[in-house]
Formats: sequence, structure tokens, C-alpha cells
Amino acid sequence: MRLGRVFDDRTRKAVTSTVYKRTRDVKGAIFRTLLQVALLVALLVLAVLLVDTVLDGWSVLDGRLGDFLAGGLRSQSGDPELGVFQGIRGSLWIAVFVIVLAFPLGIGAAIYLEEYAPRSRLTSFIELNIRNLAGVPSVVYGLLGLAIFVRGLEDITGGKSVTAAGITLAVLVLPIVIITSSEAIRAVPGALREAGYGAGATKWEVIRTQILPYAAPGILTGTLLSLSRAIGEAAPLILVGAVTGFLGGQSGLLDVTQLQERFTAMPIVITRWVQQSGRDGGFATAAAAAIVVMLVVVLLLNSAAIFLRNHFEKKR
Amino acid sequence: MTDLALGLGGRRAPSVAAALRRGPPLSALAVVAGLAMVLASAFMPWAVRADSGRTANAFEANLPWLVGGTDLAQQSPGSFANGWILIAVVVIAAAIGYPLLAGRRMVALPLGTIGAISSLYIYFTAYRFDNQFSKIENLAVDMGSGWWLALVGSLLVVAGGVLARLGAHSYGGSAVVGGAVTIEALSGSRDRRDRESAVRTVMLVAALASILVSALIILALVRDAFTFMLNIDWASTWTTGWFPRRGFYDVKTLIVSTGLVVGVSTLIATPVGLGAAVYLSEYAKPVTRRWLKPTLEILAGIPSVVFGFFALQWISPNIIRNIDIWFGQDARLGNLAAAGVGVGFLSVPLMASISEDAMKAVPNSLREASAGLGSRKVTTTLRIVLPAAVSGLVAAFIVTTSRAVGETMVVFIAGGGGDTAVYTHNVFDGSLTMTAAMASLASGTDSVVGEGLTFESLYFVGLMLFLLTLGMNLIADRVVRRFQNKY
Repeated sequence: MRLGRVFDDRTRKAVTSTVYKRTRDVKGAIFRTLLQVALLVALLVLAVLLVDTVLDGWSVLDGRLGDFLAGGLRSQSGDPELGVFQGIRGSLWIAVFVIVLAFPLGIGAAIYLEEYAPRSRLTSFIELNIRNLAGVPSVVYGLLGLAIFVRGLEDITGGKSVTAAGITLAVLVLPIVIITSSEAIRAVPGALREAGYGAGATKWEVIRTQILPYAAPGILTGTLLSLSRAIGEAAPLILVGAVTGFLGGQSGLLDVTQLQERFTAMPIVITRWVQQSGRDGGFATAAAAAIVVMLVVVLLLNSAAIFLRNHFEKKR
Repeated sequence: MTDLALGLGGRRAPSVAAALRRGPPLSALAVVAGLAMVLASAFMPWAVRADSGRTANAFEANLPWLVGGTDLAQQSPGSFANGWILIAVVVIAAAIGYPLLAGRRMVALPLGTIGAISSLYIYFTAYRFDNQFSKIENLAVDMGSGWWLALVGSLLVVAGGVLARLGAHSYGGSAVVGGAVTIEALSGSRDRRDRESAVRTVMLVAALASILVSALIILALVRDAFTFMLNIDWASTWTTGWFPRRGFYDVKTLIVSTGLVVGVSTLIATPVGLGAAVYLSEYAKPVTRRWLKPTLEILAGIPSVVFGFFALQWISPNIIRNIDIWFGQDARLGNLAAAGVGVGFLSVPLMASISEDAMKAVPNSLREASAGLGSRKVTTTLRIVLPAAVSGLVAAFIVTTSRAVGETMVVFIAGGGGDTAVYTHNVFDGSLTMTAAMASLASGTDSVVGEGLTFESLYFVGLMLFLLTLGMNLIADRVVRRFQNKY
């Protein structure tokens, strides 16, 4: 170490530490740790939430899952026929409405906005309007459903029915479908369009044969996410008049006549049971089990969407 | 080639731009307006009995064989096979017919359908009056205003079809001007062009549906909220609590507890969300990122009901009550603090994802310049990246806050409010926020009924909530636009 002869100790230490990057970056380390703590808190909450819910509902899930899936709303938590069948049925029909109404409308609107729309005041108004609709609280959509679909169109929807609820939730997720589909279509490389036009295809032919297939994974991701959102959404359903107490009638899963009848849905069943848990502790267990049933569906949809997107992002 | 020959001596063809600009709008508008009129007519009297003056609208006309009902006297208005099925037939026929057959059988299809349906309507409206097949001939029935509106509407649909047909022809036939090949000669068959304009129209209608939704939201909110505001004794909106079924609508109770919940949630969502975003954007290695980001997205996908359950069953007993004991109080299981913490964790992924996008938009050259001048990572992050992304971060904050204001289920389940709430500014008390008040008004009893303006108060609170969140979202939108154009 020739350095030691020329410089004094302090200088030598400073130089070597700089060269070998051995500075103690205390501030940096603290900052980094803080960030990691923030992230850890978020992940920990997710873990505690999942574990706690599964543990709470375990006695039902382990003991009588079959009966629980086939049973209905009951006033006593000890009732052996207590279950979520009616909730599953309602949520299923809501999903059907979302798929039939919101998906084609949303994808169509996205195609118009990305491919056809001229740069006009109307276009920018539609775009602003969609962004704002996405930010409207879900409970306000419930008011829309109550005023228009339940009361205004009572003759068509049958009042507080699963039809009214399904239309309401389809309207609720419409902006999400439009926004995600728009993003997917915008990500299609311009060269693909130009090649299509160059080969003599019309606009619609280019969209149908080039743009939609390329954007399909992105669009699918968006639609899956919005479907999972619709299945988990409860606030609008309360406003639209989902049944929280006893629900009579034993129509099957796919019985069309129930479309105009009173209904309930998974998130509503959960809400009801959580509220009753103060009076009858067994309902907390039932609610936790119902949450697990719903989360399985919702998280499967979400994971499928995320996986799809990551998979295709990597490929391109 | 035939086009080229035919076109010799033809008139001047329009330019490419003019041809593209021409589009289909007028015919499409006519079809849409016509369909709207047919739909609207369903709510008006379709038939008027000459002798008694009784009216029947489209819903009161039954179609027995559609449901297979034979005992006609038992068919009640409002049953599944009501006349709206017929209305739906017109709409669907036109909707399918327009894009597929635009300019072709376009004209014939709606005309035929509508003609048939009009007569069916009259027939079965009359039929409803007496429930007797044999009496129809003797019954004098006049056409009501709904029938006339439907007729005008159907004619408009037909006119739209004709217009579309004319549009397809208007500049056909002239292919060559002065020996030059024009756009017509190159623009392919008429069918392709017709389909093109039809598809465009359908997509435009889909895009316009979003405006219809907004209009309906405003209509629904404003109508009943106005009834409330015109008839309310304003003194009852500033009392000691929210007792909607007894006529006490204390607005400040709702606003203060909303503020408390949003305050608590912001205290959680901002540091946790921002911290996670900074780590993901600036520190995390690609491998770590690939796992962490989807996990955060899973958190984002968990429905709010689940957070409500979690807030009530876990956060409240394990966290809030322990904190509350320090203050020498004993909180109930449901309280605003627990709801606020639940909403906070619900908002973390939103805050994180928007903030991360904002930081990702900061160009790498800034980071490299900073590192090149010898700054450490922490300095680069705090002094360069965060200030450069500040408008995006502000937008993230506003959007997250707006989401927290509108969050319903967590507060409804864990906020500790019943049907009513007394004014409180203690975060460990239970109370009702604006959203929770709406939810409990709508559940509670079977239908929203009560003293005088109880039902309308729902819409009044809804309007306040809508305007509040709309304002915040518009501001956030403005801020985001600005930062997007910055680099």
C-alpha cells in the first residue's frame, strides 16, 4: 500500500472507501427499508386477510361445503339448510347480463373511439365522459338503477329484479370495458393497419382481421377484470333492492322465469351475514365461508387476466 | 374495368378526403331517432276504446302463444309475455338489418316488421279489453297517440334506410375523369362500402351509449333531489343527527364522518401506496417486480365487501380497540376508525398503481444525469424523480381520495352506523358516512318508504356525493393531462 506513505490516514480511508464503494449510505439504507416496509405492510394485509377469512370459515368449508353451496338464506346460523345457492344464482345471472350487454357495447365503443372517431369536440367529450363515468361511485350507479331500471322500466324489468340489477352492473362496468379495450387497441402497431390498407382492405376488414385478433388478449384481460368487479360489487345491488332477508321460491340455476323476480347475490348474502353476526355469532363463520366461495371465483378471474396480460406482453 | 368504361364522360368525382368525410350520419340518425320513437311509444296509449274511452298501452297487450298460455282470462298485464317483446323484435330486427343489409333489403325489412307489428298491436290491445276472441269484430277501437308515434318512428327508420341506399349511390358511376383513374374505380364493390358505413354507425351508437348513461345518471339524481330541495324545511338539515325516517336530515353528521373515514384512509393509503410505488418503480429488480406487481393487483381485485368483513372482524378487535384503550375509551366493534383503516388498505393498490405510472413517465435521462453528477439513489429519487412526477402523484392522491369518499360497503359494514346516526367527531364512535347512509336507507326496510321526503333524501345525498367525486375526478384529470404532455 504505497498510499499509506504519501497520504495521512483519514485521506487514505476516504479514497479507498470511495474507490471500493464502502461508504455507509445510512440515509439511503433507511429510505430503502422504509419503502420495503410499506410494501411489506400491503402484502401482509393481503396475507392476513386471506388466512384469517379461511380460518374463520374453515368449520363450514371443511364440514358441510356441499350443503352450504346448495342451501338458502335462513334466519338461524345453526340451520342445516343455510347456504349460498341463491347468491350464486343471482351472481351468475348478473354475470350473464354483464357479458351480453357491457362487453359488446364497450368493445364497440372502444373500436369507434380508437379507429373511427375523428378529432372532433364530440370525440373528446365522449372520452372525457367515459373517464368521469369510471370515477362515479358505485353507489350512485345504484341510484341510477333504482330510478331508471327499477322504477322507470318496471314493466320490463319487473321492478326489484335480477334484470334491473344485471343492467345496472353492466352499465357500471361499461366504462372499465371501454377504457381497457381502448388501451389494448391503441397498443396495436400502426404498421399492421397500414399494411392492411395497403393491401386494399377496408377499415372494418382491417379491424376484423388484423386489429381485433392482435388486441384480443388485452381486451380479454379488461373484460375479465370488469366481470370480476361486477361479481364482487355490492353497493348498487343494495340500492336496486337485492333481498337481504328470506327469499322464497326454489327456481333452478338457469330458470328464465326468475329474471323478473326478487333476487339476491353473493356480496349481498355476505353483507347480510356479517351484519347478523353481532346477534348470532355463527353467521360470522358462514360469512367467512361465503367470502371464500366468492373469492375463489373473483381471484381466479383476476389471476387469469393478469396471467394473460403478462404472458402476451412478454411474447411481443 | 366495366366501371372504367362506364365512367368515361362522367361527372367529377369527389376527392378522397371528401369521400371519407361523407360517411353515413344522416341515415343513421334517422334510424336511431325512429327506433327511439318506437320505444317511447310503448309507454303511451296505443289504443282507445271508442265506447268507454279506456286506453291500453303496449305493455297491456298480451301475446298468448308466445308463452303457451291458453287460458286467456288469466293472462295478467305485467306477465313475461307482454308487448315489450314485440318492441324488442322491431329493435333487434332493425339492429341486425342495418349493418348486415345496409342499403339492400334495409328498406323492406323494417317496413315489413313494423307493419306487421303495428297491426298485431292494435289487434291484441283490443283483445285485452274483453278477453274474448269473438268480440274483437264488434269492438270499436281508435288508435292512441302511442300508435301514431310508433308509425312516425317506423317511417323514419324506413327513411333512414332509403337515405343509406341513396348515399351509396350518390357518387357512383363516374370512374374516370379526363382519362385519370378516380377513387370510385378503386373503391371496390358497393356492398363493401355499405357494410363499412353500417359498421361505423353501429360503433358510433355504442360510443354514444356512454353519454346516454351520464345523461340518465344526472336525470335520475336531479329529479328526486330537486323534489327534496324544493320541499324540505332547511332547518332540518342542520340538527343533531341523521334520522331520515323521522324527518331529521343533518347533513353535517354525514359530511363530518365521511371526512373522518377519508382522513384515516388517507393516512394509510398515501404512505403505504406511495412507498410501494417508489420501491417498485425505482428499487425493485425486474425479477422481484414480476412477482410483486401481480400480488398487488390481486389485492386490488378483492371486493370491498371482503374488506368490510376484515375491518369488522379483524382490524377492529385487533388494532383499533387496542389503540382506543390508550385513550381510555372502549370503542364498539363497528367504528369509523376501523372502516377508515379498511378503506385505506382497499385504496393502497390504486394509489400505488397510479403513482408508479407517474414515476415511470419520468424519462431515464433525468435519473442518469443525476447519477452522473454523483448523487446517490436516495437523492435521485427524492430530489429528481418525485418532483418530476409530482403532478401525477397529486392526481393519484386525488383519485384515491375520491374513491375513498365513494366507498360504500366497508363503511356500511364496519362503520358502526345503524339506520340512524347522531353527530360525532370522534373517530372511535360509530356513525354514517354519505354512502353508508344511502345503503342503510335502501336496505333496512323492504322498500324505501317513510315520512315525507325520506325517499328523496336518498337522491339528495347521492347528488352531493356525485358532485363531490365528479369535481375531484375532473381536477385529477386536468392534472394528469398536464403531466402527460410534459415529457
